Amino acid sequence: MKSETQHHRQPGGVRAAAVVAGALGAGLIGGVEVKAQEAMYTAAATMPSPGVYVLRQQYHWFSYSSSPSEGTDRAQRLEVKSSLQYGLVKDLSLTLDVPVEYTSVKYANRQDTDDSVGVDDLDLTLKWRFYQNDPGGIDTIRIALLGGARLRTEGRFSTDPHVGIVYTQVHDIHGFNAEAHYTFNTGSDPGTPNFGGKGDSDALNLNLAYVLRVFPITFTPESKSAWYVTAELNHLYEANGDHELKFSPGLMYEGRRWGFEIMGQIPVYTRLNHRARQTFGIGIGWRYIF
Amino acid sequence: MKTNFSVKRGGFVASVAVSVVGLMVLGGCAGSRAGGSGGGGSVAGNPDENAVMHTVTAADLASAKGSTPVASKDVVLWINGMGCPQCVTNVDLQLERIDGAKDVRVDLANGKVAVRFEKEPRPTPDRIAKAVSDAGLTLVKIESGQ
Repeated sequence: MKSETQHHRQPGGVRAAAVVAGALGAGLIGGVEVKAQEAMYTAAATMPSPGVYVLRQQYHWFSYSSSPSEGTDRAQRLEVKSSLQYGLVKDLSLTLDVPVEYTSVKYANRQDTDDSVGVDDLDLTLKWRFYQNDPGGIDTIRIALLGGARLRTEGRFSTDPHVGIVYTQVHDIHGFNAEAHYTFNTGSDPGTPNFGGKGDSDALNLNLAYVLRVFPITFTPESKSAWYVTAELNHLYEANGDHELKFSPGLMYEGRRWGFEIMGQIPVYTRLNHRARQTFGIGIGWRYIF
Repeated sequence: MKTNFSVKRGGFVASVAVSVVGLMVLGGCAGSRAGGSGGGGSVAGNPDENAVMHTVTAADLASAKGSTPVASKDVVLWINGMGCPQCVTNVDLQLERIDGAKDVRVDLANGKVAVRFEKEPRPTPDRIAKAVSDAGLTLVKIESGQ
């Protein structure tokens, strides 16, 4: 749950955002080596090896239409999600997600907007890869289980546990990820407006990602980087009947230890009665392995 | 209040159906070229012109096991599963943890990793295999250099 901290009243939230923004700035200006691998919105059955870290940061900008049930006319949301994944032992990793959100909400009955910034719920996730088959030099098939909890950061401490499974296949220039993730929501305040996936109703995320290597088509012994186009289908179904399917095309660059990604997101099909519809989204991100 | 999931079963079924269709479409792209076999050691020789398929014998597989230090300081590792760039970095980092390992060079084109072991005693195949396995990859052959 987002800490509903008003921008002008809660400098702590501003400081947190500034720290994250500063970290990003330092990373980019310092020219750190970063590396990409998963598509932006879909997990993969891959992970850092024991003792290795992956630092990832993503900037997402989402725009929402009106939500009559909540009395909002429109809303904008900027999410800066910082993630640190660590390889605990072979085939087992732990990921901590720290999102910071800025929201701007225009209510239907008011002229001004309500702006807020704060640290959203933290998330801890264990990933256990229980199946792996490597039939060729590049080819691989992997399946992993996900399990963790979203940790509420405001009010009484509580958690929203979640479990999932992810399948990854890489063959030649083609990569494919499929993820199913179920969150047992325990009634946290989803905030106003509700951006989905939180609150009283359980949530099921179904994500698919296709990753196509477009350059180089054929690796050479000197190859140290690659460009990919990505296409994702991101589906969120909530137990209250709301569901939303989005298409996310993108572009990804990979260096040896660093990567960069940029994606857009548009709604394909929505049936929402309890929250606002996302009209579009864009995201950029980078990651670094060390 | 918690909503009963089964009440919205129709929506759930539709949700899953849409995603399954997407899975089939995207999976068809990824899987349509899968299944190639054989090949001449590195590239080509099968319907997947760019696929890297290692052809190994029982002796090759045996070379990747054992507790006797590798014969030469320069070795080439034939590795499967390096399609994930993060895994490639993983193998870099894991091999560099072996005492004396230097100059790790990954050849994605041929699914091979060259590495030099400058300290005596050199590592055993079992130790090298563990490093590759820790990286989430599969070692199929250790080729000693000259």
